Amino acid sequence: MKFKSSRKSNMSKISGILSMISLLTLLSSCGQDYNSNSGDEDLGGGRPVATEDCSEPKGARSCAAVKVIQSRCFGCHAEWKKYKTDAEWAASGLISAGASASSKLFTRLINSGGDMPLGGSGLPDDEYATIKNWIDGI
Amino acid sequence: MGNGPLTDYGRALSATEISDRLLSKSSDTEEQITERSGFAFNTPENTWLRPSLSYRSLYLKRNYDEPSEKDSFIIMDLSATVVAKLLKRDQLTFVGQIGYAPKPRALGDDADVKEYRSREHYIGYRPLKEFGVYAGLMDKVFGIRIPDHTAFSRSITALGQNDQTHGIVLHYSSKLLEVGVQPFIGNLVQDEDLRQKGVTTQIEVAAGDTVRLGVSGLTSTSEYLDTLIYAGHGRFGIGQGNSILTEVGQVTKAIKANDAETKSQYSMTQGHLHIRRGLWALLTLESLRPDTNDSAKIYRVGPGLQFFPFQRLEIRGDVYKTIRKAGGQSASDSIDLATQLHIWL
Repeated sequence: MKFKSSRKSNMSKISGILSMISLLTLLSSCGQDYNSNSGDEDLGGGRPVATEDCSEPKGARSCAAVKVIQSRCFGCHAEWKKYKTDAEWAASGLISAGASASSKLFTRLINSGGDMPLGGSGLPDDEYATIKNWIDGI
Repeated sequence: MGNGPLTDYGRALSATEISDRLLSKSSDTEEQITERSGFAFNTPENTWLRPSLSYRSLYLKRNYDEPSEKDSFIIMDLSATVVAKLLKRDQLTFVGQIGYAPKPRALGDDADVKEYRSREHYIGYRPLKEFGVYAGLMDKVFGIRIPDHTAFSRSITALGQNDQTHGIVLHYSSKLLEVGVQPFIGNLVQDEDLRQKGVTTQIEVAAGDTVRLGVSGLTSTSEYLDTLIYAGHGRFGIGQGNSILTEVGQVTKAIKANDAETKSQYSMTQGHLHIRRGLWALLTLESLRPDTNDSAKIYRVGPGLQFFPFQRLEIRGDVYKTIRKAGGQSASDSIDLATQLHIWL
């Protein structure tokens, strides 16, 4: 009886260890990532914000739009910096490929009747058109 | 070295030595109170799995009596921790913690960020009483880890509330000497180019029964920034329940893109005065010189009260006066008021 209860206890501990290792692995891969170094990429250059080929027409629209978003939005929406391709922007839910009128990022702009950028007066016409052309051309 | 999960001993100590007995019956003995110091006020059990819960909230009034006065209520911590201890003498330890994390103020209220994070998860093996090795996400071994995570000694050094790193800690501890060496690779949840990778170390020696003196050094680098920090600190126990903690240090940050280097110097001194069981008066004095090429300095004076009316409960109130000086002239002062509530099970 003592042997059985000892084996049961060891099995329980082994399954507990395996659960803990799984938990540790899971905790290492998800959650909020903001910390004291989150703004470091803005220190003189930062990471490339678009990896579409800017020499191609489609990539040029993407590069131009991301430049506008970088200057007008990243100050508050730093988490958007991780979107580097049109596909990642679309997967984020912020834009609907080919449909600016259904894209949250576009409809929330003051120029579209929304309230972004907060505290601002809206984007200049050329920047607004850049965002629209980018989304509609995906 | 300043962090880690609360142990059964820590809970019992908190229940009987630190906390008052406001909610205990006068007929309760200290032993009976200790019997209720386990998880959720249960009897402590020597089991291999120990859970705990923690809640800390802050009511902050910034720029008191100024046109820019602003009130905030922030839930700083709402987390669950599990500690598993295995093998003889609890040599093998697993710790996992996860909890709510408020949206960083810098990102704004509309920021689309996750509102949970793990601040601690690691495996530890202590083959000898004096020596242990730990691997996983932990705070960095450096200086004195006071709970005021906005203190200059923690903000300018980037050792704040959310600055844990994945790495390995080699820890040696004896009666006279404590050493920690920690190579680290940054928080794996964060994008790789932002992660600071390097090594930090701290050596602390006992200079008498109630005095410990230490030095720390940290060097790390990411794709954008090189960091070098060194500091000296002291912990002094005075009489019954009183203490002084002090730390001075220099932080050098070099931006890789333009070779710009900034040296900052800081100091922190915090005193605890034991007024009566469960009640302490605090005084924190800080200074920061953000750039040694500039004469501007910031001083902060923070008197406060810390009250433990009952085990598992802490109430704290602080007043922070910040004095800014530039070129020898006073630039602007401000006063912030803070009240904190901390509950743990």
